[in-house]
Amino acid sequence: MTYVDGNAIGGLLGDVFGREVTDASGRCKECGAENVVAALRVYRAAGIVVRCPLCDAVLIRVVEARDEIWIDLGGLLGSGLEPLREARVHVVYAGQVVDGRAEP
Amino acid sequence: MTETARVRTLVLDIPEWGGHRAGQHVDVRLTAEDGYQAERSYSLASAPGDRPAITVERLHDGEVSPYLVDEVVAGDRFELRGPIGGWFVWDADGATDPLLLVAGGSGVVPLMAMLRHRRAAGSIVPAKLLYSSRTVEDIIYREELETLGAEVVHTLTREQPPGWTGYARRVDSALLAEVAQPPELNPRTYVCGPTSFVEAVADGLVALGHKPGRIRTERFGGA
Repeated sequence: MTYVDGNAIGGLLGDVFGREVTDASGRCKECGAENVVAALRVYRAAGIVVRCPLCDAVLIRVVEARDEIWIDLGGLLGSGLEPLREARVHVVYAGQVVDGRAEP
Repeated sequence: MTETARVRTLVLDIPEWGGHRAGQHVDVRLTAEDGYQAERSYSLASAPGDRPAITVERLHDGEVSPYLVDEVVAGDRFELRGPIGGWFVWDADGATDPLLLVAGGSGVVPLMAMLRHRRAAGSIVPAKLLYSSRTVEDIIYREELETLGAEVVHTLTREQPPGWTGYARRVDSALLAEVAQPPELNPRTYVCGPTSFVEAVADGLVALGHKPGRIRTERFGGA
């Protein structure tokens, strides 16, 4: 399956974080590689999976449905990226919605 | 504006557009009458300071590009998000390093924004564009590219017209060794095209001794 760069979901991530994040960097929890979001590998299927370009570990998962967005940043270590506190943005961790703003 | 048989440039009239940077893109979202939505990203082709314009290539199985290339007429409205991107961008202001741009097909679009920006800003950094197209008819911005004060090197991978003096093979490390600035010049490098093309170029440059950290890529997926 072919992939694109993190740049390709810059618009979607901008909606989640409320700012431009393609030049923000994040560290892979698996291998420790630090990369800017624009250099991560994005695979699109029913949802979006973002992988580490070095070790292929899953860093970010995003699902969009209707006007709502579910995002799991569980593969990143201390990215400093804080999703917006908005009703349409749901933060998921270890399979659970952890923001208390949505029905699990 | 028609660029090639499959490629068209649309100049956009966007309320409260705050300007953009060379290399950024926008997301275009179309909504069908039944509510079905399709969204695609398109690079901005114009220089910052000029009206935002996107150059779109029609994909035969596309959900958005056939509309943008064949159907949209002046005055039509559609939903748009952007400008997007803070990494695959080049600012002429303060730039001193030579610029190496490598494009596959419509990957030339964000690089064209950089070349237009460079000219508009009066930047004197040396710039070189290596541009791979299938045939001479597929070259986007062919005439304007010759007027931008950059060195433009074409390669045609599928078919060459009689008398063609440019390259006629795929971009690989041998071709890059002939065309690209040597690694010692440490060019600021931007590569855009299909994923397989960008892989080949980035790997080829690194094999020649270019630093991976100097190479910024934008892959747009299949073929």
